[in-house]
Amino acid sequence: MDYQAIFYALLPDLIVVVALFIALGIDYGYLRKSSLANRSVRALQISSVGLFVGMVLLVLQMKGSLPMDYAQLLAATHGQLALSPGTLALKCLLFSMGLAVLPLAARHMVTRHVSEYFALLLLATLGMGFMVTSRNLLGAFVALELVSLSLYALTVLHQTSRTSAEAALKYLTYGGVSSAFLLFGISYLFGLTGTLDISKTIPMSEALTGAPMLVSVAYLFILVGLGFKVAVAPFHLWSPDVYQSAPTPVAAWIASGSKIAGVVLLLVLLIPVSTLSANTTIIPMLAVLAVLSMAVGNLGALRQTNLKRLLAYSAIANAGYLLVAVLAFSEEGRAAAIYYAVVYAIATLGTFAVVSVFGDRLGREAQIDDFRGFWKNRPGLSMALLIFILSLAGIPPLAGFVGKFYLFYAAIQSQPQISYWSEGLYWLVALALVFSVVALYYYMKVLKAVFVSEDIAESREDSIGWPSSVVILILSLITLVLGVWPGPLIEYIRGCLIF
Amino acid sequence: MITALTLAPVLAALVIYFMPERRARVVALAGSMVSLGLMVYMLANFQDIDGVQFKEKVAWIPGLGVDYFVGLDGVNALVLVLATLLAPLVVLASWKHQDRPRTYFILLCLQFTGLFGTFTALNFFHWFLYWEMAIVPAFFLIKLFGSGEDRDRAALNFFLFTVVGSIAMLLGFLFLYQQAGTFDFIELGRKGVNVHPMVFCAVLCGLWVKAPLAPLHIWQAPAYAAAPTPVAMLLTGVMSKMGIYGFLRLVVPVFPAQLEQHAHTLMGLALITILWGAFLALRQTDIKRMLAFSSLNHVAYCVLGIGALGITAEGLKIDAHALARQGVILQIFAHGIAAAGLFYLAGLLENRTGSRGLGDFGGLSSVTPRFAAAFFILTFCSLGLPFMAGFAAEFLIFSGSFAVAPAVTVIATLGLLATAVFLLTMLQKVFTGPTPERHNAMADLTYCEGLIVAPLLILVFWAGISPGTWLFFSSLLN
Amino acid sequence: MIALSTVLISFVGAMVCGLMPPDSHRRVRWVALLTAVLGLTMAFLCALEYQGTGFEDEFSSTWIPWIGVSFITGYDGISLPLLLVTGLVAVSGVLFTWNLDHRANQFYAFYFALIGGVYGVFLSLDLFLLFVFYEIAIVPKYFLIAIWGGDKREYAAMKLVMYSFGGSALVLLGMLALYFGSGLNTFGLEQLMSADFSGAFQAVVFPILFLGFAILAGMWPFHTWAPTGHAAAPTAASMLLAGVVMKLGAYGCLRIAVGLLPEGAVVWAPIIAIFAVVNIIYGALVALRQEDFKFVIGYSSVSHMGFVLLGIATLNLTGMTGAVLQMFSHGVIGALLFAMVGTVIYSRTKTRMFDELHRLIDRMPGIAWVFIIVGLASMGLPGFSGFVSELYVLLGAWESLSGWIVALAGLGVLATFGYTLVKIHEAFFQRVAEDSGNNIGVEQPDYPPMTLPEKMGVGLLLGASILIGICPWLLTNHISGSLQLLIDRMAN
Repeated sequence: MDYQAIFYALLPDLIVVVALFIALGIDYGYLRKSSLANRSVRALQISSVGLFVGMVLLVLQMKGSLPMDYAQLLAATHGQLALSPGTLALKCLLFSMGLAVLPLAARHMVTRHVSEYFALLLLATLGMGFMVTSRNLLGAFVALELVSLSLYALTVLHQTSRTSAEAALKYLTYGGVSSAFLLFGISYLFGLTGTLDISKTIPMSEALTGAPMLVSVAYLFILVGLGFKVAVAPFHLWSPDVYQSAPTPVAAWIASGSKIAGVVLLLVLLIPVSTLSANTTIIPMLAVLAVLSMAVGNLGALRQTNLKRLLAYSAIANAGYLLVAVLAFSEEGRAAAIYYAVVYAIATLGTFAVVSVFGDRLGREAQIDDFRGFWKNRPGLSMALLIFILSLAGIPPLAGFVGKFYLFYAAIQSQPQISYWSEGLYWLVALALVFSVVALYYYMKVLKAVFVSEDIAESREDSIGWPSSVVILILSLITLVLGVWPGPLIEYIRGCLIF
Repeated sequence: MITALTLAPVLAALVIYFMPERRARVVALAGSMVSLGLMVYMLANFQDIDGVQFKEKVAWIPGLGVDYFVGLDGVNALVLVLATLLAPLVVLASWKHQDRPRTYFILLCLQFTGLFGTFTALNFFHWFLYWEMAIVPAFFLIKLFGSGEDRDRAALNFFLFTVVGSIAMLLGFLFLYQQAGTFDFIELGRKGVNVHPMVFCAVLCGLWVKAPLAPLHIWQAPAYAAAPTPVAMLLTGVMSKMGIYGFLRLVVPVFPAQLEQHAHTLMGLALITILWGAFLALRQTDIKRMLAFSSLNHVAYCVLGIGALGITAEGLKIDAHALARQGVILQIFAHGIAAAGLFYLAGLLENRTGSRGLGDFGGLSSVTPRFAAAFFILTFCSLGLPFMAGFAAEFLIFSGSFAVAPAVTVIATLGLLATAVFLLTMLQKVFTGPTPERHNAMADLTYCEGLIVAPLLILVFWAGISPGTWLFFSSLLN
Repeated sequence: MIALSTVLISFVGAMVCGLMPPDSHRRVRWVALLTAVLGLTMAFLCALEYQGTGFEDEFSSTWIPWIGVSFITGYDGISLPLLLVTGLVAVSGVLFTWNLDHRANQFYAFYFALIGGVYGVFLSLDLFLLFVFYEIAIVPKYFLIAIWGGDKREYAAMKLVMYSFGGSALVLLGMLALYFGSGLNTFGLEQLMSADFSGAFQAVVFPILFLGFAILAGMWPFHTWAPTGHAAAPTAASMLLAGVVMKLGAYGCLRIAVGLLPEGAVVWAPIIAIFAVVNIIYGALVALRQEDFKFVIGYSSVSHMGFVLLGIATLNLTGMTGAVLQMFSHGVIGALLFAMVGTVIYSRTKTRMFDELHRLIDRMPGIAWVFIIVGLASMGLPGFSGFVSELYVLLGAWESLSGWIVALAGLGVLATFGYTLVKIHEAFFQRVAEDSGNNIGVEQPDYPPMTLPEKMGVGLLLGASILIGICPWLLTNHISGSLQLLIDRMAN
């Protein structure tokens, strides 16, 4: 065992863990008698520094500045972790998004357990980092569970809200069942191939060709399990409640970070079958999930009056769009799915951030009507909200549009020449387009409240603080820039996506 | 030259827009006088050749082969004389107009331009432009300044009827363009396109409404009756000639085959119009309406002549076609003058007495001798007394048409008889017999009014006694 | 870069206006006017610079190379009139909303975002780019109507956005099909024009693309967004909607659907022609029945767009020239009609219902006459641009379509005359009936005459219409030159 290599490989995560413990320790030791505000500021500072240093180290790893190259790292972890520029970038992205969530969490403390709050957030972030880098079935499962458990706990942290507990229980129950399904599916896969290492694509594929029926069953279970995690219809029932009742930053983190991680995991798990004839059963399964998600998400969102619930349904719908790209089973499809997941996560995170800085302070449930006349109070925030929502709706020149376009492009590209409508993915793209028209309706409803109404739901409140402002500003700028100049990012994703 | 003549009134209209209201009439008069002056100048320099003179031809829309092409020839010279002559008279006739004079004179000037342009344009594109331009101001003049309760409806009817015709004609011409590749009238005549009968009908329809001829004349009497007097002068004197001019300019050269084929139908319809017009006129008790139907009846003679152009008879010693054509052109002129004059006088009558029912008057010849004299002369011209313009024109038409279609012509003369009957009845009722009490103090023609009537009277005699002068232009045609 | 600067100027203008303080409407309007005038000037410069028949002033840069997307702009004789009309309408729109004081900064921000999008569509030589601009133009419309609109504005705005977005979804699908069908791995318009699409492919993809664009062009039966949207929108927005946005759709139909899929166009042209004629007649007849002045104008737009579609359906030089010219012509006149009704008349009478307008010809003679002249222009009377364009379209229709279509279109023209006259009568000449409770008998005051900005706006638009009516060659030379290229390509 090359401990030095393992040390270097896990250094960023190590730093985060250290930060986590420091935060806990200081909070429980040194700051025991301090005010809630003070404790939260300290916790925020420590966790932020931890995540930031972790990020810096990740960047160094990506650049190869650490005295180890990728091959050595891979060898050192025995294939458990695939540390390539692509996965590291994703991990780095997740860390940075975690960093963006932290100030939101600090603004409005919902609980007295300040340090646990931040520690759990860091743990979830860590877990996501492992999800995207892990190439071992069990490792990935453990990472997923780490994320899930942290999120269950975070959901229940909203102690002033009774519904928070209820939602957390729902989340936990569904999550537990889904984990079981996932584990069951993984075990089938292990049974079929005799290996847990997904990076050995070719031997796995060869092993799988032998038993197409069992492969289908295995993937059915895996899809059910992961479907629960990323909230794909019909396994979405927990998500609206959780989004609404969890503390807003937590909901933001569920909607953004865990979504990216979940999609990456799904892509990774699907690699062995991407060239198989077993596709013939998996593709219809995925297609059904995609159609159902788009339908349930978009139609469900139409009736919502609560912005967070609306975002939950929108998340379901977007999971459906993502599956369209996954269905392509091509390099382009994977790139599109990841790009889409990233821009979607950024926009959602931004929306939740606005909801958080505006709504939570008022103790509001973030009803859409609460945003009436928002433009008068908060012109800047409402501009940011405009950008995020339009990006979610897929309106150019924002990132969401490019994401959606790339997604459809990739989907059709998988089989561009067709002789009958049901061949290829044209029909699915057409359906997705129809649903995106529907989606515009409810997104516009939100914007209507924000911009059109003349009466004001709430008079001006105090300043929102610079960390949150910076987060929102950066997120909206990224959304804009990724829409106008998506080239570099797409190129990067295409260039270094080696799973 | 011709462009200047055409655009002078429009310029006047522009000037009026920026001038004080009370100056409007002066400017309008100046504008129309400029046109008249230019016309006189052109007449002085008119060459005796067959062909288009004073040509102006500039490429306009190269893609469609549309040129700006104007010119004078035997067909349009006389009718342009008529139009330019009546224009200042119409302005003078409305000299005392009080109601929103600026609007009124602007519309009047625009209409002048429309009329002048229609008579001089030799390319369909801007011919149609002017054609419509002549209609629109008339619509508003009737609508805004007309009298009577139903002027709105009269104006609308007038407009819709003429527009239906225009659009039919437009579509027809588009088809012609499709065939011949040109909008140039002269060119079209030369090429002799072969067209669908529907197209012929469509073009005919536009002219038919405009002339008007039965049964598309129903807009006419209400419009003439509702229009203010000067506008009615213009409508009957010049606008109704647009249709006839259209026949001469378009139907005769462009559709010779169709004309030949349908000449009898055309003459038959003309005949019906003549008789029907006379019959309707007989039944009227309103002077203006009666004059309107009389106008219908007289214009139909022109169509009779045009029908004659389509029939070739063997073994004639005279050139029937030339006779008929000259007759038609002269009739345009003669009737324009007489009808405009009569409408003017009827308008004066209405002005002074406030009524225009035939039964309201009597014995006016003793009260207003000058007025009566003028009225008599114009009426006699209208019914074709020798040595007056009407006679010369109708004589030519009849002699031309008799040569080729004797039966129709004979019946048509019946119309002449009827015309005499209703016109004379009118004279008798208005000017002879006992004078009602309230009309005893009626004023005679003033000098100003005389000034308007005098040129008309002179022309009536001039064209009657020496028609050769006026036939000079049309005699150039072969 | 001159052409591209129209887009930049508009977006910069939008940003500047948006960032100005909310209560500074007096300053904002000058900024807005400056932006609009600059845009128009650039469009004029384009017109002056334009020489040949192909694309000129091209600006090209890579954008997302691996999916064949690049940033290419340029213009030719087809887009030139549309650039001009956009500039004209933008300037006069500012002039007609001169007195806006409610959230003026935001108004102009959305206004110029929309205009920038529109310029962009007309300039894009890359399908992806075109689509981006096409969608950029959608959202500002919603806000312009929903915030500053009149009755039922939120409903109208949402309907409009839904229709637009639905249309653009179809367009996106068609675009992707084009991309993969061509196998050239590019969205560039010029490369795609040389692509060799099979006949069957064209016949299937053409209706998708055409319908997508035609929805925005107001094609029956997908026109219903137009009257409601136009009627509810504030004046400047309805001017833009009628004048320019509907042209986006028609432009797409011509440039993309017909330009790239000529064989498909040949297959579908007769059907499109029928729809177009229905548009013309239906729009005119429905306009005749309207009680609200703005709805009359809204349906008249639908009717006029029928001529554009008919011109496109002829697929020959004359007809398509007519279509483009009609886009210009209706852009100018439609915008002017909306300005007259929405601002000039409404701001004085406070009502648009015909049965409440009492003898306006006496009470606002100047305005009434201007409206009458505009109405005549809208009828397509010779001397105005509408006549020339309809002439071209009908000529083209004679050439390649059945005589019945032409006859029906002629009927439509007639109906146009009918409703225009009837509505002019109802608006300006009619006396309100005694029993309507309106204080009849009382001497009603005269309305103030037009203000200077209003006069300038009217002069600008009406002048353009008359200029093109009398000198159509100013535009037709360019239009037919570029269309000839398109048709030559179709012939191959």
